Formats: sequence, C-alpha cells, structure tokens
Amino acid sequence: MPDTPQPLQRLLDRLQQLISAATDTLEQDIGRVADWRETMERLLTRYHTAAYLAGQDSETLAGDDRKTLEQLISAQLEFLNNFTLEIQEADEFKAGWRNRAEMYADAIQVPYWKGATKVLPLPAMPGEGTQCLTRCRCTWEVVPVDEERGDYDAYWRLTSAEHCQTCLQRASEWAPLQIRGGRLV
Amino acid sequence: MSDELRRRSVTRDDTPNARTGGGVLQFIVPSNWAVHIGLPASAPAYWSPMRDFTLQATLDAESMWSSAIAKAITQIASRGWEVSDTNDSALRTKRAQEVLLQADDRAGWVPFLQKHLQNFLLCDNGAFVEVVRATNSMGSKILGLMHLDAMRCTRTGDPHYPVIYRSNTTGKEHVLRDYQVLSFADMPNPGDSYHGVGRCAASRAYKTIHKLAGLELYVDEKVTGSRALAIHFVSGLSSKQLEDAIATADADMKTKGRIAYKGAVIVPVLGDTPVTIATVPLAEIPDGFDAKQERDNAYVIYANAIGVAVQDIQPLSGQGLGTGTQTIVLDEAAKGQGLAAWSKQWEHMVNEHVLPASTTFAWSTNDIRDQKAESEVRKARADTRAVQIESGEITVQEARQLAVDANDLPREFIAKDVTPAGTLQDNEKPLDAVTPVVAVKAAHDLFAEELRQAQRLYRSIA
Repeated sequence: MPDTPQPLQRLLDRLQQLISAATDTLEQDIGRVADWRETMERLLTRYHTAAYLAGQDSETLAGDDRKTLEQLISAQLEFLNNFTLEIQEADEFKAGWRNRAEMYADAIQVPYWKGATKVLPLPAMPGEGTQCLTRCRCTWEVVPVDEERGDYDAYWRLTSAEHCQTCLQRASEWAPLQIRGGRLV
Repeated sequence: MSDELRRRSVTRDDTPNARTGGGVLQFIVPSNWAVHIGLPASAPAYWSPMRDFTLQATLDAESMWSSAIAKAITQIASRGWEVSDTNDSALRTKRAQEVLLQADDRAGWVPFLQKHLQNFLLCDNGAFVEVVRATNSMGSKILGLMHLDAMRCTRTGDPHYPVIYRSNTTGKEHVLRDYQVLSFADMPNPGDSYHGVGRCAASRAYKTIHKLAGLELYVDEKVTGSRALAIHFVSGLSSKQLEDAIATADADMKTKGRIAYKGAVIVPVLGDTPVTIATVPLAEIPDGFDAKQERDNAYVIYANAIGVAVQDIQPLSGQGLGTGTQTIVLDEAAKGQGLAAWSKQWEHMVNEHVLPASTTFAWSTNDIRDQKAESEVRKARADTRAVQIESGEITVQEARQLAVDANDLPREFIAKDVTPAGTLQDNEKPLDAVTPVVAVKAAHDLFAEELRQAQRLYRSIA
C-alpha cells in the first residue's frame, strides 16, 4: 500500500507540532483564547497554501488556484469559529480539545491532493466527505494512459492505516476512475 | 403543539385534545371568582396564592385599571426587537428569531407576551417562562419557549431547581431545573423566605383600585337604583298607607317605562307626631369628596404602579408646562419605572440563558424622537472625528477604531480591533476571542499575508 507522500507527511508533522505547542499555551491559560485563535488562523492559512504548492510541486499560483485555496481556508476558519466559541464559554480546558485542535492539521491533505490532481476532474480528495474526516490517510494514484489526449486512470488507494467505510467503498469503486479526453467517464 | 415540543414541555398534560372532547371542563369553573363576590377591602395577606387570585381579579373589578393594564401590555408587545450575531451567522439569527416569534407553541410573540406580562403585573409570584429543550441536559437544543401560568408555579428557593410546576389536569408536579425556566418578579422581596416573590403593580395599587371600584359601583347603583343606599325612618304614616303610596308610584313608574326606582328603604313608624323623616345613609359620598380629583389621583397611581407615562392613561389637559413638553418630560420619567425594569430583565435573561454566546437580543426603539436623538449624537461624534483627522490628531484608521468602539460603525468594518478591552454594555456579549470578520473575508486577508511564508515553507520541504 502506498504511504502518504513525503512532502505532505513533513508538513503534517510540522503543523501538528506547532498546533500542539499553541494548545499547550491555551491549556495553561484559557483566557488567552484570542491569541490561540490568531495563531491557528495563521498556521492553517500558511500550511494549506504550502500543501497546495507541494501537491502541484510549484510555488506559482494561478487565479483559480488562489480562489480554491481561499475557499478551503474559509471552510476551516468557520469550523474554528465554532470551536473558539465553545472554548470561550467554558471555565476550564476540556479533555478532547487537544485532539480536536490537532485534527485541523490533517485537513491540509485536501489542498495537497487538489494541487496534485488539479488538472483532473476527480470527485473528492482524501479527507473530503469521508467518515474518518481529516484522519483519512488514503491517496490518489493517477496513471497516465495518453497524456496528450487527456486520458488517465485514477485509483483511490488505501494506505497502511485503519479505514472507514467510505474509504473502503471508494477503494472498491474507484479502481480505477476513468478520465478520457479530460472528462470523467 | 409541535410533536417534539409537546413531548418535552411540562404543560403537555394541560393541552386538551379537541378531537377527543377535551376542553369542556375549562369553561365550567371560572378562575377569577373574587370579582363575583366583590374585591375585599384589603388583599389577602402577603404572601399567599389567594392574594394573587385576588390581585388578578382586579382586572375585572375596575375598568380604568383594566384599560391601563391593557394599554401598557400592548405597548410592550408591539415593540420591535432585533437579534444579531457577532459572527454574522445567518443560521443563528434565524433560529433565535424563530424561537421568539413561535413562542408558546406557535401562538406567537404577541399573545405570549400578553399572557406573560399579565402575570408580571398582576401576580406577586411573578411570571414564568419554560425553556423547552430537546433533552434534559443543560446544553441541549432549545425547542421553544412556553408561558407557564404563575398560579401553578411554586418557587422553591433552590437555585438548581427553582420552580415546581403543577399540571392543571393531572395535578402532577414537574420540578424544573434552573436552565429549564426563566423566572421574573417585580420588586422581588429581599427576605430569603419569600424565594423571589415580589410586589406586582396590582399589589402596589390595590387600595386605589378598590376605592375607585367602590366609587364607580356607588355611582352605578345610585343611577340604576339597584341597591338600597339609605334607610329612611318615617313617622306619621302606617304601613298600609305607605304600601299604597309605593304601589301607586310603582304603577305610575311602569306606565312611564321606569321600573328601577328602588334605592331607599322606607320604614313607617306609627305615632301622633306629624310625618317626619330621618335618614340613615348606608352608602354615600363623604362631604367635600371630589370624584374627578380622586380619579385623577388614581390614574397617576396606576401609571406609577405599572410603569407607564400617565398621559397614556389620562390625556393631558394642557396644564403645567404645556402639552408637548409635558409629554416628553413625563415619557422620560416613565423610563425609570415598572415595566422598564421588566424590559431590561427580559433582555438579560434571554441573552444569558436562551441565546448562544455570539447572538444578542435587543429592543429596538419605535419612537421617532429616540431615533432622531440617536442619529444627532452619532453625527456629533462623526463631526468630532472629522475635526480630529483634519488637525492630524488621529489617523483615518484610528477614527474608524473610535467609531467601532462607539458603535457608530459595525465591528466588521475594521480588520482588527486594537482596543478590544473597552467597555461592555449590559446588552452586549464579550468579544474576547470572537473574530470580528467573517470567515471568507478573513481567509482572503490572511492568504495575502501568509503567501510568502507558505512559499518559503514549500521550498524548505521540497
């Protein structure tokens, strides 16, 4: 089974460390939720963008790329809004918040795969619409059939991890998804 | 009642089923019996449920009091309000609006408030609102608000279980948690044994209501002759002579269409003395009594008790400062009374115990004078800021910050609040960690700031 691509894994590891450090500070003083929130916003924005660049393996962004990224980041900030409100209303740091904060790190695999497969009309990225949410460790494997004609076969691959029902189903059905002439067949 | 709300509300047993013949019993036993036997000279002892029975009956005992109550309640029920969300969540504001507009199981905001305020003004025990939740736990979704009859609510004094509600039909008692009920009382008694029972408007005005009711009753009976108002002792006449005289008068009255002439009890006393008469009054107006002055005094007392401007009950006569100015002065004075306290309490209760942290309820003013005054003040502040910018005292960004702090501009108009500590009004929610901008705008701004960092990061891992 293929593993998580190395650039993505490096970004995941770094981001998790940084989020963990920020959450340590919050745990020591829950009144500093404003600072924690600002740190999270910046980290998510920076790492989502970096993941997209790593996925496409280029640091140039076209107009559509920017729009796609802003939508993905905006969605994460909405979740962060709700999480922040919960923290504000509590008197003390709750068990489960650390894990919940670290799950935000896993969300960067979506922009990574969008960057990696952006020329292809794939229906979903790992972590998008799956029961395992951002814990998804699945990958796309794209096999060119005839690049000039825009023909590809795309496989949803399970990595060495536990898998949810959605991922098992996708691995079974999208093996392969056929793209012919740049369109999903 | 919507099915889920019906199942969860403590009033579920009280809702009759019209299809199976329910509801008939409700009309057999009248609830305000006190009016049928007349208001007692003093309300029953403070505090007992019997006292509240009597206080509620004042609504049917004196018409000016009844009208004053109706006017005051209508003013409040027709007031506008707004719900806002600091995160601009359309879902939250919509949900908050629904909870309020569909209060009392979709009977609506206005009828709900009319019932609630009658309890507030006419019961020392106050008014109660059930916060119906999807489950018994504190944070569970609020399904709706229900009015609870104050006569069936008992205050326990236990802050965790503050109210016991007794079902009308089954007699079953429901113990309500603190997050399942909102309790209101006018002037709560400071004594700890009263558990928050207050002194309502009817309680404060009771003596006057009773007096005015008596005055109106006297005039009514005098005019209609429906009750003996005096005993006249007549000497020099026999009973037979008197009866003949009355029968003749009676027949005479009937032919003229005047049946009601009673109003005097006449007792003949035999003797050799000439016809004389001595009268013992049973009810009469005392010497020097000025009915108009008494009514005018009563209106002021009613207005003060309820907490409305007196001209809402009694039209101004043009005396004193002049009608226009007098209206403004009296209106301003009324803002410090009775129902004004209820308005503030309602805002606090709903914001603290019903709505989420980012959503706020606030009354909006219908009064054109208030709106004009508010706009004049804002203009004055804007002019001041313009002068300060002109003189170089502050920059445009700083002026915007000042405008946001003064609520002249929405918080969304600045990227970051550099003075978040500031002040907090009683009808605002804290903004400690709530980002003032919406997620889409924040994403756009942050992306521009973080792109270079992201490119550097990509190069470091590539």
